[in-house]
Amino acid sequence: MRLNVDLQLRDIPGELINALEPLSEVDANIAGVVHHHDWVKGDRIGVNITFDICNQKQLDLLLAKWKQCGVEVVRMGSVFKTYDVEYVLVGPVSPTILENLLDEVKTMTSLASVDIKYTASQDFQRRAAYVSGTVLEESDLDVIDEFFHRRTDEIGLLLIRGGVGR
Amino acid sequence: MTDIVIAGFGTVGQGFAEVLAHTSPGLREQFGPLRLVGAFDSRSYAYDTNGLDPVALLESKAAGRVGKRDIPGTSRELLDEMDYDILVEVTPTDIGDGGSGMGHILSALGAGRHVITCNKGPLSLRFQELEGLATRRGAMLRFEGSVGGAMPIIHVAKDIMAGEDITSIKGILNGTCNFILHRMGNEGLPFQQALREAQQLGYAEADPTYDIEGVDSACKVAILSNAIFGRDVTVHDVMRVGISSVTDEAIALAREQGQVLRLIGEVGQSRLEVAPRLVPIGHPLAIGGTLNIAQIDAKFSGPITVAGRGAGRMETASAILSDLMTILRAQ
Repeated sequence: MRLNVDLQLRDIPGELINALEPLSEVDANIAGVVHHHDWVKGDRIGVNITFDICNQKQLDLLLAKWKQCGVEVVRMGSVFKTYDVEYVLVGPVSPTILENLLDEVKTMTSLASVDIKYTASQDFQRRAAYVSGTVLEESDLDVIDEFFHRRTDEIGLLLIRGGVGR
Repeated sequence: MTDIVIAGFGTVGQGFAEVLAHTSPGLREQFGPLRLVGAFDSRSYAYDTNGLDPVALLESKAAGRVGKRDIPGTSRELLDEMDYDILVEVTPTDIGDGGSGMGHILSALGAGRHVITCNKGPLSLRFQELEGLATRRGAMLRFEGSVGGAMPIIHVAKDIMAGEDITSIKGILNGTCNFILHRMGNEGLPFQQALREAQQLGYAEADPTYDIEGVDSACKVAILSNAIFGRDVTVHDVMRVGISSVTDEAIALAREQGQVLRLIGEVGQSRLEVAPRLVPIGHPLAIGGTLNIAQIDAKFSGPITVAGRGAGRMETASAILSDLMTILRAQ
């Protein structure tokens, strides 16, 4: 899981290393560290850290280590990693068809956001729709691909997937 | 002395004859003389154990025939009678049963002779059987030119990246489709007009079905899957969607989102497909024109991209020459 925390550290040399060492001790992977010199509270300054940690047990161990070395955790929240999905559907595609398809997708995956754009051709066969969105689970990428592949085939639409750079 | 027979004397066969006529002195010094002893097309043949002049053969072909003699019986029976070291098999691709090329390759490998081929039919239908036969007979089967012409993807993936854990290969494996999609995207041309332009420029056949419906790319995907991933699949196992249903509106809509459409062949852990895909502008696979390009993704190296001219007389002959060098070095 990916977490984002605000810490208060004593404003003395070596204190940042003191806060980061426990992260490596619990095999956490640091994604970002930002100093907030304007978050001054008494003799303490603010630091924001984003990191990946494998489970709750390791997180509890980390919190205990921080407490032991005097690092104060003032806020902790989850950061959700998302995965992009995008498709172009070609042929007689209508808003109703797409909404129905996406309703089905929402019931079976972690689809978190979606955006749709249409062309406005009078010729149904030339019409196209661009669907982009995000899912929270990587495994859902294949589920959505398979679903769109099957359903567009049934409806008679050409499906063009993204994900080449994935 | 290495004796060579060319089966199929069309564009590629003639290109290779030209290469043989102009091999460098350094090459002859290193490996000894390369001697063309036989060549045939679907009608006639020339055969001389003392060697044939490649230039004279090209002139003869330009006048209508490879050789003076008609092929008696089948070309496989003819080949069975010939004495040579290496067969260069470049007859046209037939994905029904492999066509005459299948018989030629079986004949050569069965007799323990090395084979170099660009013929996608046999390789995309009975790859493992042919590889197995080559191994049993102590012969080599090389086929660099069968995927991507001068683009050295098989050599890079099999030999240079040996030991790597290759996870996927994605690429543009058909220059005709890429030209059409590129023209549709850049000039806003409808599909039919871009196709006609490709035909006028000689990039597309009069019957373009094989290219635009993705059959050619699917053959190459099957070959890559067999050769690089060690699978046993045929062209018919590849999920295939062509580009004939791609509309100018779809391409314009994709472009608004910073994407182009490309016909991508993909071999992955769970994927074996050819289909039009969205590719971000600026990505290596967003390449235009008639080039072929492939991205090999591997565990340690990350993505490695190779590109080159996917077809053409001398481009494919260059791939055959590269295979020939591999065989000669191994001897």
